[in-house]
Amino acid sequence: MREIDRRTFLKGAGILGGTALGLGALSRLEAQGRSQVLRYGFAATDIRRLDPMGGPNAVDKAVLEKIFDGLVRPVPGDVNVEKIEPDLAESWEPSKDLKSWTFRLRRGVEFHNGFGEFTSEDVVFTLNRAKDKKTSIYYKTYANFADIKAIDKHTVQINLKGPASPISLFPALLNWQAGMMMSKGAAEKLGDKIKAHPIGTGAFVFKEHLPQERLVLERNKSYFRGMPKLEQIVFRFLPDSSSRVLAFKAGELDIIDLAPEQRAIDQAKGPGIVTQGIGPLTVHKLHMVRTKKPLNDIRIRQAIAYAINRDDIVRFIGKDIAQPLYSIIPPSFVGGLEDVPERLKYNYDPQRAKKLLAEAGFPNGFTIDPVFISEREQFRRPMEVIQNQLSKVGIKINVNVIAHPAWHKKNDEGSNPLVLRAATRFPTANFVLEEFFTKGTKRNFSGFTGADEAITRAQKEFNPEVQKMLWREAQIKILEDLAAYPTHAQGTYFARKSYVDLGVKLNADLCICAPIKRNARLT
Amino acid sequence: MINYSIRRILWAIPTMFSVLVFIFVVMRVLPGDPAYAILGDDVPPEALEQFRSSWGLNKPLWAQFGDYIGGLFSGDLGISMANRQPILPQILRAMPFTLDLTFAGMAIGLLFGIPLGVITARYRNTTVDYSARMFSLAGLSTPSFYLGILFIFFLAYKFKLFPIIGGGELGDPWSRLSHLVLPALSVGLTQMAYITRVTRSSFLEIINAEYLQTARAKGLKERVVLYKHGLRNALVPVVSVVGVYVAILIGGSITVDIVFSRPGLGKLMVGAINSHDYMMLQAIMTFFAAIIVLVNLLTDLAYAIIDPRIEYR
Repeated sequence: MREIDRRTFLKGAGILGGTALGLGALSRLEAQGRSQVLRYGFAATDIRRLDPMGGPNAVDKAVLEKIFDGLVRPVPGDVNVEKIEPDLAESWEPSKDLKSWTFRLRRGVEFHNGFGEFTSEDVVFTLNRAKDKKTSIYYKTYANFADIKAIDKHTVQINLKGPASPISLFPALLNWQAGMMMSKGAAEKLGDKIKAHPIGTGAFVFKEHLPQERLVLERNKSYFRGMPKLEQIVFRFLPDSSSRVLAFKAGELDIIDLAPEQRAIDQAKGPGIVTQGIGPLTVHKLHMVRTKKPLNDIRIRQAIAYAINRDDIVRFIGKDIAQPLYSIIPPSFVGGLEDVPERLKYNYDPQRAKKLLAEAGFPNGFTIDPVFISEREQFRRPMEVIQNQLSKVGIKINVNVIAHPAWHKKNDEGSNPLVLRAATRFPTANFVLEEFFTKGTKRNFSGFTGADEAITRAQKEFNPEVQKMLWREAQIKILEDLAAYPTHAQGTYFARKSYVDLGVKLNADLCICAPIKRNARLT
Repeated sequence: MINYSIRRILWAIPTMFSVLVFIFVVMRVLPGDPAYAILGDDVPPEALEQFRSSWGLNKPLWAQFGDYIGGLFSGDLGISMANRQPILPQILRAMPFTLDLTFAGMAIGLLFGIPLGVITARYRNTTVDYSARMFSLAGLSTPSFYLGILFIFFLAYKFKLFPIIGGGELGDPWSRLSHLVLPALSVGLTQMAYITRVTRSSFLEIINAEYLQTARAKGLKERVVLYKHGLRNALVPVVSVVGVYVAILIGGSITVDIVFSRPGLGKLMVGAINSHDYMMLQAIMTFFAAIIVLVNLLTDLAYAIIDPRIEYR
């Protein structure tokens, strides 16, 4: 090797270093001024599959909501199935027996990439696919659909097996899950490829996806509500929370997902930044598995309820994140219990808890070992608080923190006596009640079937007021039996720069993401 | 020599096989469920069951292993359980970013580590030596991802000198390079620390060697003695450890990929671990194992060529 003296070496290193710095600075200078390109940072490594009916994950859903439309939609900014307005359907009317619904479709709506006009054929295709177990994991939502007929090019008739109330019918026809209107022509032409390159009628068109790197949507110039103001949306996949927040603050991103943790929100706050939480709410409930003694004794379950202090849980998790929950279904949901009777709130009362324990034969408390919880903060932290609160009345629980998917397995196989399960579902009482509190469902951890009748009757009921009454009845029964104790509710959080105008006053959105509508823009 | 090479190459096969078995068993035995990990918390239970049966996850372990080995032999790296796309193209797309990082990291390690090692040996026990060794120890002890975050915070966020996220555009050398600097520094500094130590100790050994005393007696300047005659021999141990260090570098690059959101093999692998995507994970581990086996093979052969004293039966 040639002799090299120190000076030469240092000179070389200096040149190398200087060049590197220079290159870096240059690339930063090239970075844009304010164009109408929205840069969105996802908290995920990649999308899974862009198939509305195949079980999209959170990231898939955030992308799909911009590409598709449904027949109807909730009034923008909220999700209330009682306040529905036209989307791809202009108007609709039910038959007298509420078993047959006729929808008149908007004319002149074009699918992306030249796949032709949206017609009744596409509705028939989509809904048939939606109710087919082989192509749609959401087929149960369409269990009441008998058949779908194209009356003419712009008229569709949906025939149901039994009369349906609007509350029961419309979730199936929104821009949500299997209700996203697909193009029959595109599906036939592209086959399975349509799951990587979806074709819809929505405000944005799928342009490209570089795995793990980015996904780009372009505006749909002929969108039926008018051309979007944003030219492009560029999604970046940024699983690491710190670098995502730093990149956002440094100006490389305009919107980012935030983990549902107070710390994440505090990190993201800053001048020119707005942090926001939206619904639908994620409900958290502590299922008490009655096959695990002594949880079979209602006095024990009551003791646990009185020993828990919801306000402490909320305080510990973070004031910006959580709110106390007094019934399984929050009051903001259709069918939620608005006025929970005081006695069923089980307000914090450790003395009463101890008394109940003594009555049940455990004057010195008892031990539950083990109780499993997921290592994710969203679950682990509230469980830590609960453990502490229960120990104060003499109930010792030995908490095993395990990996998230492993925790699910423990819950599903019945090995976990106390299941602190969260659920983000469509904001109508039916979905959570059906999934967690009916007989035979795999997620009825508590094993409680006392509300079955009310829940099943509500499903078949066509009068919305009677439905709501039945749902309230179901919730009261659950609270009286303490099958599960509702602890708290959380929203979904994101941070945006103040120059990002979402175009709507946002309370909730079905995509469980920051929705980008036609009139969103960068000011 | 040829015999040795052939034998070494053949040894690679059982090595790779053991890695595969190990990964397979560990992934299947660890608690956790790809269905929940990939589909998420909110899908209906039937969807989870359907997922499990479509991937044969309910079959006994030995049957699953048989399926996997069978697939490998037909050259099929398989399909990712998470996005149902073929795995090989995904790995190939990620390769350039990982290769960039590996080369750049190793280059930084060698370019700065060797001179630093020589200097600290030459000026042993002086301030230069002590401060360089402290710096080196700090580099060894600091995890690459932590260095990465520090770099991001100071150089990219406070002083906006570099981009924070991504790997840049492959086709644009400017962009590719500017996105490479901070990640390469993060892994390179650790490499530099290791290489400095090895170079230093190896150099110290030869510094008083007899043949160099002869050269000094001949009246050659110290500089010529050390660098012209000594360095070549001192570098031999460095070459031989490069293989091991590449393994350390790849380990560091995985966490650096995540911190910088570089779309390399590291990000692919962490995604696969979180999703319990067995197919993807097995394929990536195979790749990593192959790279490490290959690099070690090459350094062993290079070592044999460089040092004529070494004989191989």
